[in-house]
Amino acid sequence: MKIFITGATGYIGNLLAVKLAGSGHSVHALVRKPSTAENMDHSNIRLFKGDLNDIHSIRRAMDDCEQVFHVAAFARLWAHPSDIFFRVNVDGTRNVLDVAMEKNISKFVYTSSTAVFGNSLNHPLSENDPRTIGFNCDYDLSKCMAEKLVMDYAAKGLHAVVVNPSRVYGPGRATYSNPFTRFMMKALRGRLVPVPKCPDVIANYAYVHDVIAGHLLAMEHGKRGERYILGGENISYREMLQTMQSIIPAGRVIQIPKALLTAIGNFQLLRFYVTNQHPSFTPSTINRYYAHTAFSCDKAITQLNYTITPFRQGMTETIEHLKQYL
Amino acid sequence: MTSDKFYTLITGASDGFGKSLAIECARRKMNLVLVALPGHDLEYLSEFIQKNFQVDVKTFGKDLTNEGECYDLHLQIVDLNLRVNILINNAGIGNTQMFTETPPELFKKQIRLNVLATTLLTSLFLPQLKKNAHSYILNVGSLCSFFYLPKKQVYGATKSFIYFFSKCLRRELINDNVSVSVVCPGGMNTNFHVSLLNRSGNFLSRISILNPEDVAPVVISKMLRGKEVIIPGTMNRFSRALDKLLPGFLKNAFTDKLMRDLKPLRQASISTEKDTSTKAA
Repeated sequence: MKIFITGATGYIGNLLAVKLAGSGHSVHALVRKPSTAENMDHSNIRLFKGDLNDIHSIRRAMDDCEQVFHVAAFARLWAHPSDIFFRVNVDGTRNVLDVAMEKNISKFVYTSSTAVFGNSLNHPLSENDPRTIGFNCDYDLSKCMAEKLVMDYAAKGLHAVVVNPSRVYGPGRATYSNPFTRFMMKALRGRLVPVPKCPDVIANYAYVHDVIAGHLLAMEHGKRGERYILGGENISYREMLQTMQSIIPAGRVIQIPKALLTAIGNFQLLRFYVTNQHPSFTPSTINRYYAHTAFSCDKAITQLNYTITPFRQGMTETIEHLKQYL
Repeated sequence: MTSDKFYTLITGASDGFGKSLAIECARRKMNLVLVALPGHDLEYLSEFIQKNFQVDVKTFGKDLTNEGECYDLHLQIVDLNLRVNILINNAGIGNTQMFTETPPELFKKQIRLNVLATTLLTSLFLPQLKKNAHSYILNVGSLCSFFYLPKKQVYGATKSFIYFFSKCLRRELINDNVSVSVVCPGGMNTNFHVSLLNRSGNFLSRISILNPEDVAPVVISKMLRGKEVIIPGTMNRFSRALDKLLPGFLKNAFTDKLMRDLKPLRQASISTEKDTSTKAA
């Protein structure tokens, strides 16, 4: 089967494209720079030069395809001007949806994020729960708007399904969306790993291979207009660090208080206005690391047969994988 | 039979600031009567709050721009013997538009909801509120009722009404143990439309933008302490202070520029919004 995919040079998209190609599907990947597309040297992967904001390039790449995985996004926490979040994540998604409608695509899976839900309170969040916080973060706002668009097209008849991966970790390209791998490499090299100083804050960690499998399951079993959280175990920073240190005994961490990180964020913003040097993070983007973000994957487990790799096992596999790059 | 439970009634509770107020009240173990347009959002919010906070939540899907539904709401609450001790008139319709470009349907609805529903619900629930040892009314105004901004004519006037109404009513009820507060928030990142609009302002207006989840706790504690006028945010209190000090021509020059700059970042991006005129600050 011919399958169109966006974001194939990214963390999730790359593994997904390779997996699809490996199962014998013909993968049409829309990429901005074919020359820099790594790990895609597979006879079943065809690269199409294009851009989410160039609808003609999407048309060319989606030709003859039956299914669409729209994984690409501008996955940063900050950009200036912030317009790019909306251009890529919202307008780009609309273009992919429009072409999918034109070409009568049989099934469409959109990769959203658990960022659309905001923070959890006393219970893990599930698919029907409301967003608990406002739209301070451009990424969150753009992903919510894009998800709403996908739902609108689903209501219009497109067989579209949304998946919401949580904090994804595991082997794969060390992109911006894969900070976990960077931190584990640091730990393996005996360097200090910065972690938020809030040991009891709980987050959800999704093993990347579970997330890839979840995408395929959503394509196969997902119901039109439904969303599915693809996560893993809910664990506190304390538990996460204990697990890490039991696997990498030499791993050392430095706990960073929120006030310090906020101050650094403010400084970076100020520096940006003076020197135009982009901040790596800003105060509005660090909140998510200091608040609970626990999620329940029960819907995906019962309706899609999604499975969760235990965190310890996922970590062990990840670290084994990373050791070869030391 | 009347139960001994008290309820906090919040209108416009399904989204934005109303939702944050509902979550904050639940966190303080208040039982809730949530009113919003009928739809899934309200039911999901109610389930979410009950799961997280073990309080009782009743929901009423009502379109309060329709006078009859305000009366219905009151009758149903009386029939169910729900004792309301806190009334939060939050539902409102906002917009940022030149008057000549505003369809009459929109400002008629705006006046019916922001002015009439607020006044009517207050009038209907007041006898019940007066019976309690302590009751509170919180009306949601806006910082823009202090500034005569272009593109905010009718909206600003409805919020000025709320401000005036709240302050007068507070004096009337001083001996009835009903504390009336009015909150005048500046811009908040509530729904898609407003959050996009907030991003288009100049530097000063952008740093004054607050998040509803940060504002709600402050507002509820000030309401419970009986504060008359609540202005959340240092920047907003600063603009209010400046407003009293600066001469008119300077204020106009500054706010003219501010309102000209204020445009949605990407008109196209919000075309999917089901209602572009939902609550704004």
